[in-house]
Amino acid sequence: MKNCFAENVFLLWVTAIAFSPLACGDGCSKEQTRALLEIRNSANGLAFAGWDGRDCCEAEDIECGGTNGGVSEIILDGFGMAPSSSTWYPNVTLFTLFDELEVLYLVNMQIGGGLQPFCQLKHLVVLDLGYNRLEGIIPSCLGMIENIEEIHISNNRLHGNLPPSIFSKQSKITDFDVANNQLEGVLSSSTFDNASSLESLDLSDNLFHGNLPQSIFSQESKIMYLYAFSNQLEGVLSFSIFANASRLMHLDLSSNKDLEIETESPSWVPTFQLSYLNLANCSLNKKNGHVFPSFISTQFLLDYLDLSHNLIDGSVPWELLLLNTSIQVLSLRSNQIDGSLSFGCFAQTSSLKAFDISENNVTGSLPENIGHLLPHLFYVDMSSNALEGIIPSSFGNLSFEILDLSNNKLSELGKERKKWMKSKRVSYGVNDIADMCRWGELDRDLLTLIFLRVPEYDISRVRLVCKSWLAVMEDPFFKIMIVMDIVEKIRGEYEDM
Amino acid sequence: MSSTLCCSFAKNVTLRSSDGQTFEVEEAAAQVSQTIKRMIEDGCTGSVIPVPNLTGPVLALVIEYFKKHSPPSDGCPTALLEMEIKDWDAKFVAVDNDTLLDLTLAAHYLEIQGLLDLTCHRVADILNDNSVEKIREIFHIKNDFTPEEEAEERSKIQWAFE
Repeated sequence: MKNCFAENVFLLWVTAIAFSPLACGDGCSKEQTRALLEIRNSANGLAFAGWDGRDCCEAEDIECGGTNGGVSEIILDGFGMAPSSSTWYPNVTLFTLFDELEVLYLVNMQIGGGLQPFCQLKHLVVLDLGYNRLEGIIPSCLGMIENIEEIHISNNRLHGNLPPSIFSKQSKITDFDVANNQLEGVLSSSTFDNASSLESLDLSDNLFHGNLPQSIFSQESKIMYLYAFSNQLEGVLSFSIFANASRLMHLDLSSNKDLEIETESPSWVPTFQLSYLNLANCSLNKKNGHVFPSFISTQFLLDYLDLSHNLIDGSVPWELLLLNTSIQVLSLRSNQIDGSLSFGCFAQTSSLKAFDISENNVTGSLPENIGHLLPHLFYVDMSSNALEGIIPSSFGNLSFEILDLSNNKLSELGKERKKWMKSKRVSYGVNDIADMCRWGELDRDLLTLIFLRVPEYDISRVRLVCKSWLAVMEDPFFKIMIVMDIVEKIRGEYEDM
Repeated sequence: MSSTLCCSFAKNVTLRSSDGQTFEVEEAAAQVSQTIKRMIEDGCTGSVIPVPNLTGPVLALVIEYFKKHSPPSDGCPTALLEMEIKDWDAKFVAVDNDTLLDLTLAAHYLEIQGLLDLTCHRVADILNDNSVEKIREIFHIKNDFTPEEEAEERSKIQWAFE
């Protein structure tokens, strides 16, 4: 109490309790109510708009779970509210009146100003200020808050380096999220020397230089989630540094194009089981002939793998990859993978759902049993390869959301096309739809949906806009849809009556 | 003391755009999209859900739509009346043509039926209100008919121009 109230304030509070117990709830003093009103009035209608101004604990966005029944959580989330052009500069000192406040969550509230004032909130355990307009540097005092465990300050306009002492000796920080700011500087290993409680670290979408600090991945490391994508990391990163980080589950280093990631040497044995791995758009195994990383087939919990936009050369151990792992999403787009898609004859089926191997040099025909081995496929992009032959009939039984086989040497799809009519977006081949329109990106189904909404009289005019639009309207499918649409409309009107 | 903190316990999912921006959104709201709903049901929520066809700014708009159209859950009624939502919808698609295209594609890809209706109607309205030449101009479409071809097509449907 003495942290927050001057003695006379305390007296006032006692008086308030004594004389008007109903006006104030158990956990909320007059001072706090006043502070909350002041916060509300300054927030351009974003905060506590539905609160009647009486008991703080009755406010929708407040939790009173402190040991003395005081305000313990303030949770404001501006998502879904009309975007406001005006910036909110909250008087953070007002929040210090809530001396049991442990969770402060002010997300997407158009908050401007700096972070320094938030260091005054000495009892915080969780601070989330994501998606605001905060500026300036990250003050090291944030890490000094005694019990702070989670700091989320992503999606702001912060710049400067990570303060070298953000993780103090007694640091309890488990979650540290600074993604999508303009932070820069070399990531120094000493910054993370005391970060032994860290479970989740998000540095992505910044301007960080240097290599990933090894100290994060010591034997004692508790790190589970590490995101450092879209930075300017550089140098050689050997995967052996992760070997002892036994809890590591998510790793995303994608879009660091000058980061040379070596998975093959020096030799190492993983103690972790990843479920999410994204190394897209890095420089993978440059010193080892751009080979496909061999450790991946030991990752039996892996469900998401993206190695697109590397220079992976040679063949991929399809069988190991598809059967040893729990793979659901696999992108190898834009590499130099060759050889054929030979899946062998295994009895098991794979859990693969989304498969992108476009822009490679895959040759040969599609395996006859592909539809049986990969029965869960719903997104397939194999465009721009050198596939040939016919489409196996087992493919026809799958219900695709997206299937793109364009720009290959495949022969006519013939009767399979009919089965895929129900698929959302199917590119049958390179010559199928002329892409003359800027709106040619729209596929037939989508154009059909639009054209069906134009009155019949005007639609004849729209035919003349360009050839691909005309082609859609000439398609028997479109004509059937028009008939069906009319039938449905008539039926709808009938039911309304 | 009995605070009704309706949404703080709701599960969130993280969506990631093609340019790597991540957005956290309530699971219930994101399920306005049938595509995302299916992915959640398939247990893809443990990791970040990639939305590779949408850039960050478009995904941000779509998430705004999610929030407005998320189904009311117990103890958390959306106080907005249907009319208000309709009004909001109309303003939401009153955007420039590039954004309209992005939203249409997004709605199609993510299977957001309401948004797809909305954007398709808006495009259809534009097609309805403008001449062929104007449509080409608005949507930056190159006329790829030869003059002969166009004349022939035009003669087939002369009545539409009278």
